[in-house]
Amino acid sequence: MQLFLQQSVNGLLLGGMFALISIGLSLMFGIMKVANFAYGALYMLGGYAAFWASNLLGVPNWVAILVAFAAAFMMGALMEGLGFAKFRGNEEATLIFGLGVALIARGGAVLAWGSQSRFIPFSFNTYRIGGLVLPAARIWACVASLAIVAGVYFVVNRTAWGRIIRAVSDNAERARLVGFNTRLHYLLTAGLATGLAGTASVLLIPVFSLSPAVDDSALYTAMAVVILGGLGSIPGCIVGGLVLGIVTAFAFGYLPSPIAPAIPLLLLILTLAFKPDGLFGSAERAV
Amino acid sequence: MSHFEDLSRRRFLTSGAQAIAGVSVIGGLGGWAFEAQAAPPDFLMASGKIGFGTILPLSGGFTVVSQPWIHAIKYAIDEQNASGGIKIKGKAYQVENPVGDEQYSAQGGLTAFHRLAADKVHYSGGYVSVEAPAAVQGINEQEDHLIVLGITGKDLCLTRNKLRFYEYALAQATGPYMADYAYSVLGKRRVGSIELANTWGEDFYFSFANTFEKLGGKMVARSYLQPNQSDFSSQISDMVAKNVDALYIIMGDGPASAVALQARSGGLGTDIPILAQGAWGPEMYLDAQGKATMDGAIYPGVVAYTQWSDKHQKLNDKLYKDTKLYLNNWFWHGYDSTKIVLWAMEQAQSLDPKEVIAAIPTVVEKRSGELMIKPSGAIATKDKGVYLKIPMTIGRFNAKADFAKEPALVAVREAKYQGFPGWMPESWPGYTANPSDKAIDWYPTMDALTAMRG
Amino acid sequence: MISDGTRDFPRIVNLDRLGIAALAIGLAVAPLVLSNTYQLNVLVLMVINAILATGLAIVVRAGRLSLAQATFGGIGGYTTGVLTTKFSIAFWLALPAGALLAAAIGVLLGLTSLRLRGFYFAIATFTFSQLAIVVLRAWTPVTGGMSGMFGLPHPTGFLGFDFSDPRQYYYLVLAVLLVAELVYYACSVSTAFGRGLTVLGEDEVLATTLGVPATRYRLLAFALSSGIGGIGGSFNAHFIQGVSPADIAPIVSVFVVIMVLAGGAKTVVGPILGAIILTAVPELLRASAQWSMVFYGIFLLLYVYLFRDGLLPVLKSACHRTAGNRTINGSSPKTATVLPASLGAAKAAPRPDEAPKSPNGESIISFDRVGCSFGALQVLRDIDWSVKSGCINGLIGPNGAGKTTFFNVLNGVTPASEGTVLWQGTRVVPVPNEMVRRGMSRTFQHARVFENHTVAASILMAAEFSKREVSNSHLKWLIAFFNLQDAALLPGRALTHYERRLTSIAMAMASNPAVLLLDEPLAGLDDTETRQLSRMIATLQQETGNTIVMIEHKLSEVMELCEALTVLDHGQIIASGAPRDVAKNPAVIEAYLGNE
Repeated sequence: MQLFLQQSVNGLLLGGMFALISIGLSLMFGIMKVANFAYGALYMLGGYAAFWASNLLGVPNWVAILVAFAAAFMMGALMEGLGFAKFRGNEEATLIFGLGVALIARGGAVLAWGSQSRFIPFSFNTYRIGGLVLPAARIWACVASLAIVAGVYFVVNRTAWGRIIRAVSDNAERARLVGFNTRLHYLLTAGLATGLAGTASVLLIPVFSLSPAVDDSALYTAMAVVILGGLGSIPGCIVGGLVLGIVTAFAFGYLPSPIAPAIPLLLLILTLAFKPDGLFGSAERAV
Repeated sequence: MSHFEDLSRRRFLTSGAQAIAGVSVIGGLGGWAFEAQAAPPDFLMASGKIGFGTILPLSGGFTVVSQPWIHAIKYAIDEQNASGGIKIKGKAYQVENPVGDEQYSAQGGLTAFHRLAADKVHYSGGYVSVEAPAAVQGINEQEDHLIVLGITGKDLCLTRNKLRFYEYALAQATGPYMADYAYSVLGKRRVGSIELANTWGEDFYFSFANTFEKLGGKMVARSYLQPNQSDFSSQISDMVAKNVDALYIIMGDGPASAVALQARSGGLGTDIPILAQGAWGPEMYLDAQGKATMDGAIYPGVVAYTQWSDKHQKLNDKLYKDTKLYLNNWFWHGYDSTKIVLWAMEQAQSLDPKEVIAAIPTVVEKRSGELMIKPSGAIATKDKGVYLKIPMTIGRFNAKADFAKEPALVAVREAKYQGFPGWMPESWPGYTANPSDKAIDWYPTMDALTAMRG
Repeated sequence: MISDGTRDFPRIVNLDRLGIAALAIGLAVAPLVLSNTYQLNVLVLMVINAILATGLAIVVRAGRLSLAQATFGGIGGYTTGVLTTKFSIAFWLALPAGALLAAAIGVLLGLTSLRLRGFYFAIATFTFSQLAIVVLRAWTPVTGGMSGMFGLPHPTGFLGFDFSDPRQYYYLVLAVLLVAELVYYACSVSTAFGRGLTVLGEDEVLATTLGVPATRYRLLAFALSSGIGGIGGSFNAHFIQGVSPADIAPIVSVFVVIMVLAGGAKTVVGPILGAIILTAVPELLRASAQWSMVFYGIFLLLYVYLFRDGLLPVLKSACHRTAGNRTINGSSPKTATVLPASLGAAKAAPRPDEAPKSPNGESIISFDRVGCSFGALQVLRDIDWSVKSGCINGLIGPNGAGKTTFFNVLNGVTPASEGTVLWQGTRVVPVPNEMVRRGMSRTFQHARVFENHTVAASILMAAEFSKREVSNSHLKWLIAFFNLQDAALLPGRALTHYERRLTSIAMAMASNPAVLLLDEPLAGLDDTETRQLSRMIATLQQETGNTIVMIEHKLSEVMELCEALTVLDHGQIIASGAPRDVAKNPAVIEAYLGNE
């Protein structure tokens, strides 16, 4: 029973962290409708920006988080301005562009910084409550996750700017005719999305540490969460993340580990087959 | 009714047949007309130099760990070149060292191998990918190419391959000692393990487990690392629930760091020692996390890894200047094994890999004193190549050491675990049997091993 | 090999033929020039990649992007590997088994993702490929787990061929590639299936409305594509004599996709070109060792900036420009020079076919208490309606009344949530491509045509897809009737708005339907065009004797053309009968005035 409770806690914490990873993709893919294959790579680069700031310049941790956000924001805006803007509507070109950037980022990172793990010490404590083990780093990451998702939800759905973004993504042509500077808003949204990815990366370094190889798992995880939660739904990130987290934790906890990875994948395929809108499916229908 | 004039089935078949026929004719004619001329076997590259290549991951994974190894081979070759090169039958030859990227995959390693072979390189070392087909399938034999290997795994180092020089300790030889140490010295009884899911990981698991359980311990939780897996909390919690008192991590580099980090924060505190196998080196202790989570990890390394001499200092300084990294385990056996092969060329007075490999046991006997890893000779098998006899030492990683002037691995006190044989006795049936033969005892316990050594 | 009728499909005329000849010669002599083992290895790999890419192109043509092609290759490779090593079955017997298994799994994957489109489908295939790798890694006793299988035998030689020789292996896989090419050719140009698949990928709504059975065709495309993939994978595994999960990582499938996209799935040899370039480049970059990944990324970026639409269109337009041809969007405006044979000059004046009548005198199509809702929104409510045969029926009403939904339910694009649809008195559940076979066609509010195909070809295809008996004379008559002779050889994207409208109606008429649904045919036309088309519609009905149902807003024309009129408001019929009477109905007047 104790183990069951522990695995449940593991799953919830994992879920919160998964949500954190995917909020950027939810903005980029769900709201902006851009399939950014380099999402994981930018996630990784944001983390490295923070790592080097902390390591070389010795900045305090909260500054490192800002550095990650800023660096990722700029890279995302650049990608949007120089790439996605030119290929809008051409899905295939978007795919190749994202992949190209991802390869350069990954190859360059290995070249420049090596493949070993990096770390920023945040909080090393582990709380033990009633026999349950609760690593502080994970708890902080989950708190941040909730705060960030709530923040993004608020911005997108309740502020003026959020309305503008939604209008632009809904029908850019019309938005431009009405007078909005669609280019600028695309840049800002793309920057925000990748900036959030970079932030997530830093917040998760104390949990998973950082290496060039985190880009793949970040991308796959984010995609899975966004699909489970429903494209275009911000609260769906939390729900999708929690579902994925719990399923993963129980699969790895109770099944032999060669089989365990199949369970979340099966969940994803079944969701796509029977409920492509996801659990919180929005107006955007896949069918 | 069809409004189009279409590709009828008959036309499809005749076109297909015509195409295939055409291709066959060209292929047949072409094959006859351009029969590959067999090159005269002088075993030299086009530049007139001896080719000794390095195939290790430069991209993909394990790149940082590979860098010392890559440089070790280079330094050995540079030193030999500086002292006049290789003297065969009155002529002196320089050695060239082309480096190929294994990309940490079977396909990548194979293509890199073929590229070396195409450039008429007949010697190479490295190979980290356990599924290296060039070595596993004996492709190097077809190309008359001597492969120097240093990573274990039944499928890799125990398949048929006459032109293989295996220059590291077999898992089967070191595992029992680790188990013995964990049980007798550390007093551990319940081990939880996590391993890479291939025969390399399997080798280290069973070679440890069989002895550990024979002594009276229990392997209570076995789990695997999946590629791209970043979270281990569930597996760790399972181990916590099963009250493990030691954590056996069978993998190195980034994934090992991640496991250790999550283990420490997931309920397996620093009072639970880590038993390590794989690519562990000073690079894992360059930051606070490594120092905190993995300090004191128990690891079997070559004897040279636990010592420090002037030569250590010189080479370490040079390595740091070139790579910003420090000496690790792989550096040593890579460095010495390259020298052994080069000296064997002089011993055999030939560049033919078949003659060179036959000369290795003699060279090791004669010049062991000049080598840092102090081998006790080499075992020449009938058709699985030559196996170097390397003594090993169990040590604890000293994460707080100053790697610029001290070894990262500190030998344990007990003499029993210092300089023990890192090779399987010559009488071991593994040297002749097929790796898929289930009747062989591939992972003998410490008792069986001692009995075999007589 | 190419007949007149297919000239305006991915064409193979002079420049193309030259290019293909050059490619063929290059492929044939390559191993004689690049002859050391390393180079031969790369060449074999190149051809195998081309096989995978060609197979994938079949699915891409059908409008889906699959990120699992390398996985199907792996399934083929593992199957033949297991059969040859564990069951000692000869390679040539194991090969079809591997292909069939891959095809079967491909169909299964297709079934689960039938309703998905675009990126969702791609992610489904991506997830599948990750799942397959997990299974292959975990099933150690059979597949060798993470280490994979080794010691696979080369394919058994025959007739003196020895396939342990890389050069002969190259010619072997080249022959396989040629066969794969022929299959792809059949799936793209020269069969009814191929044409249907092509337009399905280009405009699914129009294609299904004209009669292309989307599900069946897509599943067949998946089967062929994954079967070919399995074969390519088998030849790969038995060349390097091993197969392991690392060789079929998801990223490899992504690279196969890029090969197809880079070369272009619109042309027959595009995938081969893509495979050649994207195999050669990493090999050439190999010399740069640890920089290779970075350079490859840079290469992809350059590629996508320079050749956004694929390599071949850019090459072609360059060639056309050198040859002095005018270009529109990179290709010449006339994509063919001669009308298809079936539409050529006739001895007698062409006549339209007579539209079929309802045999038992029943109304051809009717609604019995039909309702249609989307979630909480009820768009149609309690519709009782039957068409008046042999004349033009009108369907009018204010905006948002549900008229287009009415049509959508009629031809099956949207299912009815309540009530029954009756065809000639019998209950049917309309499915678009079946309805056209029965004899009901429709047009759309926005005139939909095939952008990349000529008017002539489109009309021929419309007739072909409907699977109805239609004479060549009927089709010739249609072109003359709608004054499309000059536009006949222009592709859809080069037409004026009026020409598009006429073409879309001609396409709907090509199947000689009993019932023709016209959705706002006069929208966007100026006064002259409106009058012209209006009169054409009247004449059309008289000449063929069919039944027309027309949604329109231009009430003056409606009054003149229609014999029967139905008025819809807020999803319900508020009036129905002769136009004069309906016009005087107070409810109708209120609906129109009240909504202004």
